[in-house]
Amino acid sequence: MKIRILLILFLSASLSVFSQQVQVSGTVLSSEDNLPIVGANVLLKGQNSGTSTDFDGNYSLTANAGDVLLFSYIGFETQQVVLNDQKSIQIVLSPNTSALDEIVVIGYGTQSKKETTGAVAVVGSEAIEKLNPQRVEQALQGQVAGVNITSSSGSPGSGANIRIRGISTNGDSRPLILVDGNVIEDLSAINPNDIKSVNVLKDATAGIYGVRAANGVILIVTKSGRKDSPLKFTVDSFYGFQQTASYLDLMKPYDFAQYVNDASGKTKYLVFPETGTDWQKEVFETAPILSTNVSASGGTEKSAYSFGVSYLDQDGIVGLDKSGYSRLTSRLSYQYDLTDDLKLSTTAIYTHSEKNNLPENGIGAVLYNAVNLNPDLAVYDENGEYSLVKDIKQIEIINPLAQIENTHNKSIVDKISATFGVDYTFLENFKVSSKFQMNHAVVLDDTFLQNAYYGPGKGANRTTNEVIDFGAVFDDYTWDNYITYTNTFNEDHNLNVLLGTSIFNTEGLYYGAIGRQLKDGSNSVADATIENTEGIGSPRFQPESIALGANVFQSRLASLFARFQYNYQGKYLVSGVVRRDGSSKFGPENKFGYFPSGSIGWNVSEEDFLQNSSWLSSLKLRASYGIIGNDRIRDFVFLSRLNGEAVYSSNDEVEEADLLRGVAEGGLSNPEVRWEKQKTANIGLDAAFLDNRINITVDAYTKETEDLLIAPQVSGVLGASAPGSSAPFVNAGTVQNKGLEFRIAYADNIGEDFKFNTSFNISTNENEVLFVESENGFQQGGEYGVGLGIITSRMEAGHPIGYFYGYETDGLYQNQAEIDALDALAFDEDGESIKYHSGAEPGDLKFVDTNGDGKITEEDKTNIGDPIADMTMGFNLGFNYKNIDFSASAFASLGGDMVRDYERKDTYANRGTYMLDRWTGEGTSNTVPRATSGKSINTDEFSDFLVEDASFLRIQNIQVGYTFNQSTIAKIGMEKVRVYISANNVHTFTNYQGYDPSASSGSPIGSGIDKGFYPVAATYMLGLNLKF
Amino acid sequence: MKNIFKITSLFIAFAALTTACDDYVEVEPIGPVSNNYFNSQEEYESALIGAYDMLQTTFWNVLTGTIASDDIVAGGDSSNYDQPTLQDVDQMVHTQSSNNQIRDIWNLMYAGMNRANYILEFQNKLDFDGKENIIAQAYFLRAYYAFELAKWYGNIPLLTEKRGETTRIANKRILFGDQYVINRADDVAAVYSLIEEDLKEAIPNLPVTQDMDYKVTKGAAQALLGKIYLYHGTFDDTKFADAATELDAVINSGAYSLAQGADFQKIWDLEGENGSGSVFEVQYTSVEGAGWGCIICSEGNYIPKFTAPRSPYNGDKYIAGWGFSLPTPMLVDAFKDGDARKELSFLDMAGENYSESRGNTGYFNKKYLGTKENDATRTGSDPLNYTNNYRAIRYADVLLMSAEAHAQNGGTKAADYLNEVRARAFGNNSQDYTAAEGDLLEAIYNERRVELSGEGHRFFDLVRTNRAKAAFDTFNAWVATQDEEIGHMPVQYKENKNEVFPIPLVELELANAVETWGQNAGY
Repeated sequence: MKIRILLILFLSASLSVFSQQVQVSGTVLSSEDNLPIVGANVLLKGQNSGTSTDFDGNYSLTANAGDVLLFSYIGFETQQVVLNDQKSIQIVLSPNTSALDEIVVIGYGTQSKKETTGAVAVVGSEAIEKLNPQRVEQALQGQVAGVNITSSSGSPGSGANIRIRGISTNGDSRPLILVDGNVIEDLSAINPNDIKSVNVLKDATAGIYGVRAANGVILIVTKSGRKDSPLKFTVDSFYGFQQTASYLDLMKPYDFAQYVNDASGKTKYLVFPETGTDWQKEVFETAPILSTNVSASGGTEKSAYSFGVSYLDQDGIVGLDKSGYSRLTSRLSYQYDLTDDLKLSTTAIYTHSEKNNLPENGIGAVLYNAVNLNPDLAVYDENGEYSLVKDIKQIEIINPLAQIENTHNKSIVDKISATFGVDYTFLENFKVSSKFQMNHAVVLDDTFLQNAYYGPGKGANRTTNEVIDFGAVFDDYTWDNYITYTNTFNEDHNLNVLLGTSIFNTEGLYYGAIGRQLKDGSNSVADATIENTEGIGSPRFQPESIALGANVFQSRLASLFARFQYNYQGKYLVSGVVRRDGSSKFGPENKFGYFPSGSIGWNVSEEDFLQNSSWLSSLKLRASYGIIGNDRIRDFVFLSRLNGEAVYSSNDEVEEADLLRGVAEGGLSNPEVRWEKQKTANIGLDAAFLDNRINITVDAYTKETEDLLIAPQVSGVLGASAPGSSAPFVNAGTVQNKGLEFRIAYADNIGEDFKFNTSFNISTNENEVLFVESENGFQQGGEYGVGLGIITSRMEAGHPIGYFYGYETDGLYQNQAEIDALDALAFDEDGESIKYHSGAEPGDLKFVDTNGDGKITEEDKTNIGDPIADMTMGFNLGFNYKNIDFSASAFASLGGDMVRDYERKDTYANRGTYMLDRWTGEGTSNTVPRATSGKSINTDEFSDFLVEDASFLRIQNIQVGYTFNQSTIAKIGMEKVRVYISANNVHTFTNYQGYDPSASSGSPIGSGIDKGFYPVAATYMLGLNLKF
Repeated sequence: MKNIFKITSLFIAFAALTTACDDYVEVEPIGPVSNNYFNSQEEYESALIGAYDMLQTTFWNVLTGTIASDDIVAGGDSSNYDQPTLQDVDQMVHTQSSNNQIRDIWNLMYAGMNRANYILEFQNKLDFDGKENIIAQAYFLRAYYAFELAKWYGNIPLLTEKRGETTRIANKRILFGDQYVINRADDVAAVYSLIEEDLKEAIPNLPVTQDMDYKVTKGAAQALLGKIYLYHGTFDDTKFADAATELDAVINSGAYSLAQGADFQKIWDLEGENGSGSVFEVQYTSVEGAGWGCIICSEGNYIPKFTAPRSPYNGDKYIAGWGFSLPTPMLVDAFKDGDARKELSFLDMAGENYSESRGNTGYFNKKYLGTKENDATRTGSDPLNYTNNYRAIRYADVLLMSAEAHAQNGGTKAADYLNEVRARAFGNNSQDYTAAEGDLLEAIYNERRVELSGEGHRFFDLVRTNRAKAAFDTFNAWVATQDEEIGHMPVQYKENKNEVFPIPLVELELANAVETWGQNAGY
């Protein structure tokens, strides 16, 4: 820097001989806070000379009259001023709204959007704040083309599944998520208010993260302070309430009684009840939510700091506090310049969260019980106690209100995430960086199973209470060391070279104990501690299993990476990355893998013929190709360990000593197991029109994941079915994802007072399995019903991953004659007469004989849908009129299917009102089969009658705010006061009958089976933003 | 120059880091790996526990085998087709695609063989006193699992090797890749021959009594060998004499006796476990919890809950359960007046308040019911783990098997052994066999039916004695007289098909063996 300044001084001095020199000085301020900007560039256009502002935002330079001064700073719009004879020029820079000047975090560095060659999307803090999310994931839905968020539960504090550009592996499809360079797998620890930007790397340029980048990379940057700025506070707070966004249409008592009589074929109800219980109304509650976030930031000449504390407290719409969630976070970010060349930065995030859990999403869940319980049962019996469930024989269906009351299950998480980094600049063009990141988390799960009686034979009945205290400690660290070389040659050749290493270690320890029967016959949760149980309590792990490593895990990565980025005059861009990763998950022969990728870009608008276009502000074409890897499988699959289940009884029957603990082989090994590789290609363009008012981004991609790591079913003779064993992982499959992404944004001002912005994005995704190496040609997963042994989903060449495999139907059998006619033509291999469709009776679903062999058999099962959406769309609208701001966003998903599997189909279990349209005799219906109890092809076989289109359009957020005039609030020392009302998840338009068409279980083979997903709540909030 | 030095040293540091990196990812697992084990006596003993552990998964064999017979109907929830595979097995309408239990038994018994084979594969790695005993137990366990497979699937695929002049089951695990080259034995008799060799090798090295109840004794191995000879006799009647020899050795050992009087009343209780009449038992315990996610991981027995009357049953001694496995009235009636076994075998539900199962008969199998006492001390939330040991080979069974083997050759001991069993049941010799009763062999068969009712032997006895078709015809005639409402279904037993169960189709496919192994006839 010193050299450059000297050079400039020298040049200016020499130039002064020849032309009329003007000494100009001034200050550069930020429009955001009217504070000086330190280090803003002040350049003479076309002359490659200039200066930068000092720590008071002041600059001074000598130039010629007629020169054009360019004032620029990262994140702000560049301004030009033609120098006449002004001595002083005061400049106020505004944060840029132009997408191309945005700063993009690309891994081990940043770039301006204009220079990037990859498919990278950025969501800024403004967009996040508008959405008022409780979790970061909620802010991504609909904001970024190609990113799809599904939740496995809407209960407070629950996680979400993030899928970037489809499902590319049948294993773990989660993207790599880094917060300030720190691997954070669980985003619940992050307060969305603390986020400055979320950067999504969607294509092969993510290859800088090598083996972990196959599912995409999300880089989150948290807020930091700015140097030389006074202490500022912001307070963001909202209070609101949540309600269920939907109720299922279930039969009312009267209709239900009629249905039971029909189904059982007997007169179970002589008198039809008119009144009863709406179990859904009983279970769903209006739940409060409260969030407060206070942060302070500022800086001195050499340092910048930011500190924040937040608190979120949320009850569940089912069970209120029993599914409540609270989270306290505190965050610190601090940068300090030891010298001009040596800079330190550190961040720390501490999170404490408590989550109460009710059984959810499946058999035995509170909602499952509410849906299935007979509506003629009263909530309370004649003694005022919760009524027992007697009519429904299924052991898991119990009174959901009693269940809520008796459930005591709390998870407590304490987590510290911290980063520490040093940057040292030397020889002008070199910077060496060392960054250390760590996470430490302690997770406690405390459960008290209290004695309870729910009705005869119910599985949840207990006569001996139990205290279960389980804990886990997770630790990981990442240490990155890298050198960056940046230089410009001959003014036109811009080069950036990065060379680095990274090591990553993650480990965990599980512990805990179980105690039975509280002392003195207590059955109170208040007494429920292990110490207070009879006997000594038994540890979660016996010494024998600890010796076999059952309570710990550890895995490591060691990587080298290199990247060069070159551009010529900012017009022609080229970039290449190669990363070598070593992973402890693979055997000695296959430990190391190389992941190269390359990308090119052309800023067409920089060409002379377009430079002065009045309508085209910018245009860039991009292309990338690369190979990235995946190692997300369990540890040590290349080794045959003796960690199988091997416990027998010496039969003294009394205590733990009775158990004989031995060894047996665990999961079958495959020493050959190697990286899963993804070959991904992307072409795209970024364009802006009409003074950056309209921005368009288009991308087309294809991803082919080869050598898929799968644990296919293997022949039973190998012994993989033994307890504690499992099939070996092999590299045996190929999945292809293809898609198009399009985003358009339009922002403009109409007059002084009216500003608006709107954006729309649409993504398509086509998933096809190209190859599965399995003896029977498919992998399977997912289950329909209870105990029927019906596997729903397959991964098979020529179909989307996890497609539903079942019977196609074609209406209903209307009469016996129709069935008899089909039977008359059906014969087995030996020519003996058989039933055409075993078990079919009039009013039953008519399965399609897809293979044309004249009978309905297993072989007729076919593709009856898949859970993967063909298309997703996001829509955002915002405007400001004077002091009022408005924003709204919507998300749509089209073409995904869901399996309706939340009905237990017991004689006395309630069903959807669609059963009112059931077949009751010839010609009465050709769509909804007759009521049945007992074995029936309608309920005990998996057919397309159970598969529904889960397309939906969701109004995600509507917010209206009012910002008080600065002049008014300045009197009370405020800089900004804004109040708003906001509604999240306002309404979902869908034909799907279940609670939540956006839900998903998340596992690639077997997702989309709806066993009663806890719906995402509709939330209504009143909020306040303060700055002072 | 100084700069060049700086840059160079940076690169050297970088190169050094690279090398260090490669070692960094060498993470050693905690605990042993399978190819580096068997370094001490304790390690042999630990691996043997692993092989024993698989015995606990045989509750599926017992339950499914019991339901397959003519004496027990499936039961379960009346409003649902509860446990479809069991219902299908009950009616003999299972197909090669009926997976659940039929596939579980296939997979688990092979897993058991593999665990025994793991020890046998490394048996020569280390020498120590008492190793013969361990190896002999491993041979027994392999034989036990292989015999289960042969009972269910007939001529199963096995890896074999020549040892001396004898073809033996290979002393090695079936490893990945082997499933494509392994072949089915020529016929089930060939499988019996292979298993017999294992037991013949085990017997000399097993003591008459072991230091712990759970361990295989010489008597257990002889009894199993005798039993297999008896099964083998169906195809080669010279084996009956071998059966008699082995079974007599058990009887003459003096190590076993039929519990009498008050002890007899308790043989099905916890107290009666590993008693004087127990030759081999599968040990279960309820001191470790069990979960639905992995029922086979349990150290407890699942049958006691599975077969208990459905609630609101609230008896004095027994728990309520899922209501499977119901004895037919014909079986109950097969017990003569004065037979003490009747009371020990059945829970008579007359006058009891309970939910009727599908195909309700009014009786439950008392031998393996869970007790309330056990339920109160059981560990774990899910009621899946009860202590009831499975009495795999009882002395009464040995006596009757021996009687049968002798009767096949007209031996005189047959009636004596039969009478010994009867005398215990009636408390006197009033029921001793006389010629007036008819065919002695027939009498022994009938005695097996009542003595061993609900223990999982009946179906396989019917098959090996070629009486299955007749028995199911009788059953079907009874079904025809029953009220349709109750839900009894006729059994569609076909000869030359239902003697064995199908190899699950998916297992044929996974071994790429649809052609090479072929499916069992008729499926």
